[in-house]
Amino acid sequence: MSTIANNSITVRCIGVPENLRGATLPIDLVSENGVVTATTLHVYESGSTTFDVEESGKYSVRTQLPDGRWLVSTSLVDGNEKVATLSFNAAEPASKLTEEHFNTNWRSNYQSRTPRSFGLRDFDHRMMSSSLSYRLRPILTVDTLFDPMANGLLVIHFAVCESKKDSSWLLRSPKINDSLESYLAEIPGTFAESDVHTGANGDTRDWYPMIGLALWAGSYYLFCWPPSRQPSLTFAPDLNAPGDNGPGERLLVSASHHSSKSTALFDYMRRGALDQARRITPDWLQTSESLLAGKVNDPMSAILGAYVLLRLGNREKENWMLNLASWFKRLPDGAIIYGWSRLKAGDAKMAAQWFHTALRRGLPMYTEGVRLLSEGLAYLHRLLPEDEAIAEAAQQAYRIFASANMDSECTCLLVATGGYSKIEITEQGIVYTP
Amino acid sequence: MALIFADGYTGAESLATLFAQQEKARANVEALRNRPDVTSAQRNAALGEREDAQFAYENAVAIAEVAIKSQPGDRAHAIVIGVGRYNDPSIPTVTTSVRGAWAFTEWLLTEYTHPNRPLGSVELLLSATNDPGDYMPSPSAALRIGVATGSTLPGEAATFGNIQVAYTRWLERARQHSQNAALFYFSGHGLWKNKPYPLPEDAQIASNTQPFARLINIADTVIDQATYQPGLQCYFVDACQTLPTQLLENTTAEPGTVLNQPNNGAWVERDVHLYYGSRPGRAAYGPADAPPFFTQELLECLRKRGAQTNPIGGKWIVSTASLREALGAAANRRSVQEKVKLQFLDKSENVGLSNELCHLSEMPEVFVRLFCYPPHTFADAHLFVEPTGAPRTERAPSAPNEWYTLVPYGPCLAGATFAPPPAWSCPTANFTPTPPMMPVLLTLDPVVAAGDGGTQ
Repeated sequence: MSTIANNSITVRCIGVPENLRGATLPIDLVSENGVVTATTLHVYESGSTTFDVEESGKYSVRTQLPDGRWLVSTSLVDGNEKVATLSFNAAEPASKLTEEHFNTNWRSNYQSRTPRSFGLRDFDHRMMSSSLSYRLRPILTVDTLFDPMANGLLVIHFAVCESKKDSSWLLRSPKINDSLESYLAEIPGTFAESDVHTGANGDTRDWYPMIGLALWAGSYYLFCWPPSRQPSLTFAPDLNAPGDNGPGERLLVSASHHSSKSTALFDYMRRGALDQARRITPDWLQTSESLLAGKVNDPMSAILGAYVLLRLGNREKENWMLNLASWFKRLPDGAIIYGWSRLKAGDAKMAAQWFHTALRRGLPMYTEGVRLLSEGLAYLHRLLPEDEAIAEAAQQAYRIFASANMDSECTCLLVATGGYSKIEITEQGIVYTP
Repeated sequence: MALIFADGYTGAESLATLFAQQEKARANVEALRNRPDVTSAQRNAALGEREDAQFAYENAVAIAEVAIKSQPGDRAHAIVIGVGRYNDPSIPTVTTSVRGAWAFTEWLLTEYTHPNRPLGSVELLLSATNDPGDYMPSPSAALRIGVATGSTLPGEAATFGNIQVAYTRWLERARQHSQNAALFYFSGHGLWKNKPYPLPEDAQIASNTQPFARLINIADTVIDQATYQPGLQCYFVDACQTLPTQLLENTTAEPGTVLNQPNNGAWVERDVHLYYGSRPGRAAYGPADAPPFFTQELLECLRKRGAQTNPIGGKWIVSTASLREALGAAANRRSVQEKVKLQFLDKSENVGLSNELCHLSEMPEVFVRLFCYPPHTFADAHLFVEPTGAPRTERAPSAPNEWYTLVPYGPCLAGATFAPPPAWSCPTANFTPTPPMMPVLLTLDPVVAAGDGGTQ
């Protein structure tokens, strides 16, 4: 939103969804004659930021959200105070329409849908790629197209991933004597608020990801749940992935994160908007997540940021990445990121060591990690074809990669469908052989 | 090798002319091979001509490549691959891809513009079908490469082996300066299994009797050259990424082969972009008598629709990022026109180097995306955009819930009308569109009847 004074524009945000509050977004101020001033905006509910502009006249204020949708508003810079609202509710402004013209029922209905159903409105408007949605339309909280009962998303109690010597992994669950079906328990609609993550307690250095098994549309999926101080997980049908019986058969999994700054940065990168990510990276680098103390306090935000720095080719934070990899000994993603950092430095031996470490730690928490682990080991295998350990690790990583839904934020592997299965119930738990 | 253009080698030194002579001599030898009426002396003469022609071309290329390496200043080096015919009978022939390779080559030779990085070389591999056949350069392209107007230029067959050799030489030329640009274009069939695999002429699809062979693993190829300059590397791959049953059921972890091998050096700083004409699991499309839709849109973006937001020094520049955004809008707009779901894709690794791809060769056009508030009004709204001094463009009634249109750069107005009696009114929006894509929000007001407190 914009107010005007002395050739400046004050942008005020309203209707900011929770997971964007505190984030930094790239913002454009477009003058009437088409000149664009590119800057960044810190997003807070009802928060205001003032930008100087060179000329008076009509300005368009726009920002592209991490999911690719645009928010647009206009403002008249003429020295008079004038307000135009830029609302995040639905990528369109909550303009005077809702305030002045709509009847009460419509307005209350509108408002009831805004805070937690940001994604739902996204889908209604079809203004974005569903599979890369910043806020996925969750299966479990939607009451129209995807009834959780009808669609049968079932989730097991979560397990810990242990690497075995034969390149398989054991998913150890408390209910080890039950059959597979009895592992499955229907999760109520409030699952997104669940706090069943047992790996996010105590010292962050002891944190570990949880692995879940989901039954969706007749197929079993293994998914990763990164630890967080406020753990919540969202499932969504992948409407972009073609399936035998139409789209939506495959599953997308997204986790909430403590830091909206890191999440937004990571999502710009996932969408391929590296230019946007680059615009807000300096701001991220100045925040606590990129500092040692911040990393210890919130390792997931640090990992998301590290993924972006790696993609953008930032080599100034190598020691920081090493620290990330070695400090959190139960999180595979830090080891993958630092392994790639060494790979880019031309240190193949050290890169291989860290990739082996990552595999020992378990499934990568994020799909980006699945991709990087597979590509990194494949590269090393082509570089060092005689190294048997690398060859075996590369094969294992490739098989994980081949099962993964690459559009899912968190790792989500198709492990059993139709006549084939990569999982087996044993007395110790579920054995997953990639 | 099929180097048809090197900067500074035209006229009597034209590589294209020498290449054409070599191919003509080669064809002559093949034509005489099994003719009973041809004497051995005639065959030997033809063989001699072929050897002379081959020597002349290879010698000229060797001289040109040495010259390229010692050239001061930065250049753009391109490799263009078009595959229309396939040896494997299970892969159908396709004509649109050949026309795509023609079109991209034409653009390079006649329209590519960058003041600090002129065109350095073009390598062309073409497995043409009878229609449209060998590459026929336009008069201006013929002048640029030094062949006679109206002549055709046979392409070197786009087999895996030839592509691999040409790719290595192309990369060698391109890596001579860090600020060079390396441009790769492929058009033909393609498959996908966790990665895209463009198919060269001699690609082999697995069946009960044969394995996969000679599929190009382009994604890993790009990774493997991470230790190589130049700073800007763009790959345009106009091919399907469908997943056929043979590939799905095949247990081969890696059906493709990379075009070069990695080395254990430090990775260089480079801005790498891969632009695909399809998404994983999806097909690319194109008409039989014209380039594929992705190539058409790509070239339009490079000419006039893919500029960065602001001109620099009065020049409109296409960057890797602005091209990405423009192609996204182009896919949406073209999908409506063609009534087929076009989905382009890009992947990138960006280290913040100069990512200028080229300058526009024409006046800029801008994609405009209109949307309404409240959103449910969109379906009934008659949307229009009217550039100053140009005719109004209106949204087709059957358009989906987003509308992309094109306008020339300059003042515009946009609005929406409704069938009578109108339930909504829309103030006209005046704006100057900013390339490559301008989102425009139309805020509608409900029409309030006299004496009514308000309607929904």
